[in-house]
Amino acid sequence: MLNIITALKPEAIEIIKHFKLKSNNNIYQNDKINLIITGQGKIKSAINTALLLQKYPYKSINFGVAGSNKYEVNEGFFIHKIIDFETSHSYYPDFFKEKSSEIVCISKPSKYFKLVDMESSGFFEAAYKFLSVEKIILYKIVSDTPSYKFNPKEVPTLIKNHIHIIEELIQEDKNPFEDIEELIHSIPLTQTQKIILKNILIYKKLKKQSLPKVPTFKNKKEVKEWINSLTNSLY
Amino acid sequence: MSMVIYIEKAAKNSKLAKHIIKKFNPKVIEINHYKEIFNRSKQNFNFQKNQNRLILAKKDNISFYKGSKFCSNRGYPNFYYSTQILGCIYNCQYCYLGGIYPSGYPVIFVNEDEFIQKAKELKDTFLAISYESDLLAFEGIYPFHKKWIELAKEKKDILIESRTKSANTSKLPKNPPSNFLLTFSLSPNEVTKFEKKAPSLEKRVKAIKEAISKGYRVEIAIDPIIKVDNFKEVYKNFINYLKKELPLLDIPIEIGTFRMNKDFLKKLRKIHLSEVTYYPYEIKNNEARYKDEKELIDFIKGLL
Repeated sequence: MLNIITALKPEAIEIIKHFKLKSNNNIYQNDKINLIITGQGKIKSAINTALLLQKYPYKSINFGVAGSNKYEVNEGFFIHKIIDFETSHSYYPDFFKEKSSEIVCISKPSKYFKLVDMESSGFFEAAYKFLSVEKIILYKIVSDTPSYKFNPKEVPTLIKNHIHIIEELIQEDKNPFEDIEELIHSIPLTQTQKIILKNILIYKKLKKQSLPKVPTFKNKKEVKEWINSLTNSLY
Repeated sequence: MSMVIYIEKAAKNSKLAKHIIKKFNPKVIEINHYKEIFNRSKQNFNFQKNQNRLILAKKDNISFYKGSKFCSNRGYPNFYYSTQILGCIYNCQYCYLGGIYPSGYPVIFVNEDEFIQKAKELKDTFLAISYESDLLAFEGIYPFHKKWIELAKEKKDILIESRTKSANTSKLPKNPPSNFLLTFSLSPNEVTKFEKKAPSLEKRVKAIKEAISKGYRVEIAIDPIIKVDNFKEVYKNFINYLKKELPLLDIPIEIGTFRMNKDFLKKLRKIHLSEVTYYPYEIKNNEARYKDEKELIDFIKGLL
């Protein structure tokens, strides 16, 4: 699953169309994507990112446009460093590719930097409460420069030009031990027994051994004996 | 992707940083302090191990740490280890570093002269310089050993040990003094498969031969012994190979089986889904060990 966080509707519209997302309580979804439009600014970005992640704690990308005094319009960058202009605090996303940049996050449009936006630090702060650092991703496309004025009508085209970035990020995070989880849930176990049994079964699977058949247990003693016999069979 | 370096502002003008940046032309990301990256919570160790990233920093208040009582002090009244580098290039599935460090990105402290200066103050000391890292594995990035070897020449009352799985001996200078020790950690190839990014057994053996020919005092560590399938056959072939290739009777050999603090093992299981981490070890006194540890060690000793 991939969460997509955009600030503005024009940033979301092409993504919604391309991935055929359906609206459900202000979250646009299909079986691989949850998208939320947060509104402009750090605070709105943080609040709505947190709301989304509380329900769907998956890898998340802040995808949108930014201003620049260095790059050309339509150039896209992963972000490897966010500097919050007001607090001077820096954030370092772990996931970025060859073409990456730092970005300055400001509260209101005032001046240009290498890259500048109004949401990145709020998004990162909120996402970091829920996710490990490599699952927090930012991708920004230059929409305006000191000599090229921001035009919201151009935003959908800019997003469309970089939509392949999202396609590349959509990967199925399939749990390789789903069958083990199912097996464990089918037996009445104490918390400690669950941990012991899970470790035994993961070891068996890593050794390419088949998982054991679960007998019908009459009482807790039989469960304990079965786990002991499985443990002894490993040596 | 090309190399990425996180660099402290205070480290930017150091000789070491300039050398690495000139040699590799990396993407450079400026940071205020290495702990902003290294000490963060919620990092993915394995993800980071697969990135080509380093942190360059300046170490304040350099001091050496006391060596563990579980390791030999080699008869010296003082046993310390240096932390010039935190973390390792390799990603061994049984390594305790995965259990203690929050980040998979190695930190290199750039003020090497200050480490050497501090070491000059030591007396009658066994000093391990590759204790929570593999210093020789980094020799392709910068010649870290040169100054330590010069120090050993100057300070005869300290024994300096560099422990390694690397095969980078071609990058080492010739004719070191006898109080500079290179200890090679060796495993059969059935075990080196758990030592991700580390050289094969054959390459390490070749490196030992080169080190001996350059005049290094060499030792071997068969540690940790890992109980793989067909354990006896695997280790018998391994020891026979070492006997065939190396003057084994002249090289001191240290032997140990896998053992680890149980909390480190718990952390390691989250990082490595591996038959080494998930082996059903016996837990006693908060340590995970093989139930038949003594038999395993006796078996290897019998082969030697």
